Amino acid sequence: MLRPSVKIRIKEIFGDRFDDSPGALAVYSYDASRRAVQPDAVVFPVTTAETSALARLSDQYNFPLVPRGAGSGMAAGATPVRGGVVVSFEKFDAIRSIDRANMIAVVEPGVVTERIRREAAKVGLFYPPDPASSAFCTIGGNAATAAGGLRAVKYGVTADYVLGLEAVLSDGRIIKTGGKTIKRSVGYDLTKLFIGSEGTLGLITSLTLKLVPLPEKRATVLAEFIDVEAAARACAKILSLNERPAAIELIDSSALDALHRAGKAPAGLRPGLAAILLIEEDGSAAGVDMRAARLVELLRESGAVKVESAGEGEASEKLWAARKAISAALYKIRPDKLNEDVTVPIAAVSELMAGAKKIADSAGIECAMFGHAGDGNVHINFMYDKSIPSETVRAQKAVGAIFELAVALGGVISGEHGIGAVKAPYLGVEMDRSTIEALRAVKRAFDPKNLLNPGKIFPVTQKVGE
Amino acid sequence: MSEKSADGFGAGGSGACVSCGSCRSVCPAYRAARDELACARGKMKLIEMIDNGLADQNADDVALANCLLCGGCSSVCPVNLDPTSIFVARRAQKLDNKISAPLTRGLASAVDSQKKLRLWARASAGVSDFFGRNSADDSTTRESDDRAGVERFAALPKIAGRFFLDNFSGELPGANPDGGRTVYFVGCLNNFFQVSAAESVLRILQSRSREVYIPQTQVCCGLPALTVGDLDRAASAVEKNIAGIFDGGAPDRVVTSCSSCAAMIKDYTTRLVSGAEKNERAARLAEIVIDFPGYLALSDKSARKRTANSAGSKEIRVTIHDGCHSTYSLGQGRDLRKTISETSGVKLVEMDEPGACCGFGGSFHIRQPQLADLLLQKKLASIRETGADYIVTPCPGCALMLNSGDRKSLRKIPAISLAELFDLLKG
Repeated sequence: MLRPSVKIRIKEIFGDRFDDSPGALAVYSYDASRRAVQPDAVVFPVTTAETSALARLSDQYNFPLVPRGAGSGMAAGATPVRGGVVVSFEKFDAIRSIDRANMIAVVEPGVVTERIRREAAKVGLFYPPDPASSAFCTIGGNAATAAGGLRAVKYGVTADYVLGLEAVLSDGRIIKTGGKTIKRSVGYDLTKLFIGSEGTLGLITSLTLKLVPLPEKRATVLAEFIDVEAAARACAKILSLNERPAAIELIDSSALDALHRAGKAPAGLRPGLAAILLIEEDGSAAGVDMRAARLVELLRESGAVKVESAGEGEASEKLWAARKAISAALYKIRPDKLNEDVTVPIAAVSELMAGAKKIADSAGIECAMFGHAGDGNVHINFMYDKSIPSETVRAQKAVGAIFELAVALGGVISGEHGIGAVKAPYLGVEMDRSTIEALRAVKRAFDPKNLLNPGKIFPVTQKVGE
Repeated sequence: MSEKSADGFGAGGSGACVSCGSCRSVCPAYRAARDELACARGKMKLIEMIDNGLADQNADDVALANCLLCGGCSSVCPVNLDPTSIFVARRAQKLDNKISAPLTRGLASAVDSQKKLRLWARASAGVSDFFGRNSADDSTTRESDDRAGVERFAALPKIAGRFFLDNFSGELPGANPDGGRTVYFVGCLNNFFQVSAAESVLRILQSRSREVYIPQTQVCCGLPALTVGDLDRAASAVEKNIAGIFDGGAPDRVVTSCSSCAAMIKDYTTRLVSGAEKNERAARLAEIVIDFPGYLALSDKSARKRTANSAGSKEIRVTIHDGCHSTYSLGQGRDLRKTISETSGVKLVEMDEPGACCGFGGSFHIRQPQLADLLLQKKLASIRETGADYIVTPCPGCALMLNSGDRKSLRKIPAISLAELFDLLKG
């Protein structure tokens, strides 16, 4: 509960960008994880100074701060757990500069990721990370969750493109991490520390991003398979070539079925497919043409029943739009899902998928798999109906088993969504006590009172002040 | 409370929202306000909470009133929900709460009466003349909401001395015996203000049809009534129009000069009428209605009518502003682009995000002038980047909005219809 006198102090900072009306509290209670707890108030900072003033108040009056971008996260990272103030960065969304000579962009945290890509392209530059939610997610959220996306196999993840950032700490102090240079060896890498910190170490108020030259050409290759193993093997073969495609996405039959039910499936797919591979090539025109042709041949030899290649244009756009619609379309199968993004070393993808199928079968729960086969990050979704208690229990057991499997294969329990509140109970599946204690030590150093996004990352046995 | 059932509008479907946030990528209200309540997800979730007794019945009034009903959310939703229709149904449920502005409710009540529509047109023109005179020399930037709204009125073209339907109605001969029977639904802005543009459309319709029929009794398409949730009034307008359109024989095509009219007729006709005979006509109408760019592309199969540029003049650069209804209901402007690319003397330069909303939204720009202006300025910035000479748009409402924004800038880029573009090319 936020005392009225404290609300007045907050209102003094934010004016009409403070909202504690019932409607606002209702809609800032949830994110894409569908967990919901109402905050006591919502604020919309548009400057670092405001954010800092808010943090000082939070420190003085001991209320939690819950930072938020688009609220598109899957792990309940942006939902409050015990009230407090939701700090929405939606209006803090200017692209401050794009520096062509140094290939750098400086952006505010609320900028939608796709907008960065579009603006950079206008000046011949490229921001490669491409989360599936890129049309509406924010760069601040991407940094806070160490987001990945479709192009990680060739280009890496968000962490590889944040050269520096500005953040407000729990007591209102403002720090600047990193810089503009490609190389930097100046003490601890605080930039990397903040990437994936999910708002628990500070509030990000500005980011300096690395850009790369815009590729001359892009092409898309679509391969249809009636055998999922063949698709996984084809993927492994592609990864052994001397040049990597920009994206290799695998979509299984359940995910395809969901797309069909939602009316979003790519046109012309033959019925009864076990899987499709959707691949993007980019680079010089000559290189793209050569590699696309080589891929088509490789895919046919690997047992694809149909392979098509397309240049940039509407047909291609539709394919990638379909891929990006899968996560939500899955709800056409069952009303609820447990949505995991475990990641394993690329050579273990086949085993992960086979193991996931076994786990799903023995739990009696339907499982849809799709995702970044090229970088080992396969999204494994257990579809169920939470109004049926036995299904809920079995689905949760299956999730636990998936985490164990991923770790046993040398992988991690989350590749790009982050831990949030949803996976906090499972942190110990992957990390030993000493490592978790090291993380807690960092948290204590930055936020001794546990006011910055409490209830995230760490299992909730942690108490305030621990 | 509207007597017309809102059942056809997906009322009660709000609980199916999966919270993904995809709607934020297209929502113009969100783009302007950047607040969860402004996007479809926020409204869907709020409605769900209200229905579950977790929030007050009126908690969604403001957010609901600020939706442009553009259809973007319904078109991108990955689970195929139709929030647009749900919001219409919701507004219908709240009709008695009067959540819409008085001006828009007043206009809504006029949609099924030619007499009332004429009064409204004359009143708007009077306001426009008044403000137009007063702001003519004002070169300062907009400082208040009032000025922004004023800009829109001031940009209304002069009201016609004689309205289009006073000059043209009934059966008119066509020049193409294989061209079928075309009904021309002219729409309010063309009828009262943009008569010469409507005449240009008519000339082309006549050249490509066997006959053209202009129903004398046509009224507004009903969209202003639909948007405030007055489904009865919208249905009344629709029924009058159906009677007029089918009078004298079954048409092969119903062509509108406004993409919003076409979308309204196509998407909502069958949901607003009842009774077997009316339903059959309604279904047929929804099938055959098309906007002018769509009609051109359709009727272009045999004769490729290329409009030659006047000798000696240089190529005209145009950019296309699609408008929401064209983007989400009528095929994303493919037909318009096809026609322009096949027209000599014209070079198409695409703007960034041609489908992005201009901010007009029917009555949105009156209710929310600041937000509307934000959208307009973003749109104008995209347009200026293209270096185009003209903006071509299939929606007269968008044209009005775009022309109002550029009234004071040094470089005017006029927004015109496709038919007006052809007139220009003829020189």
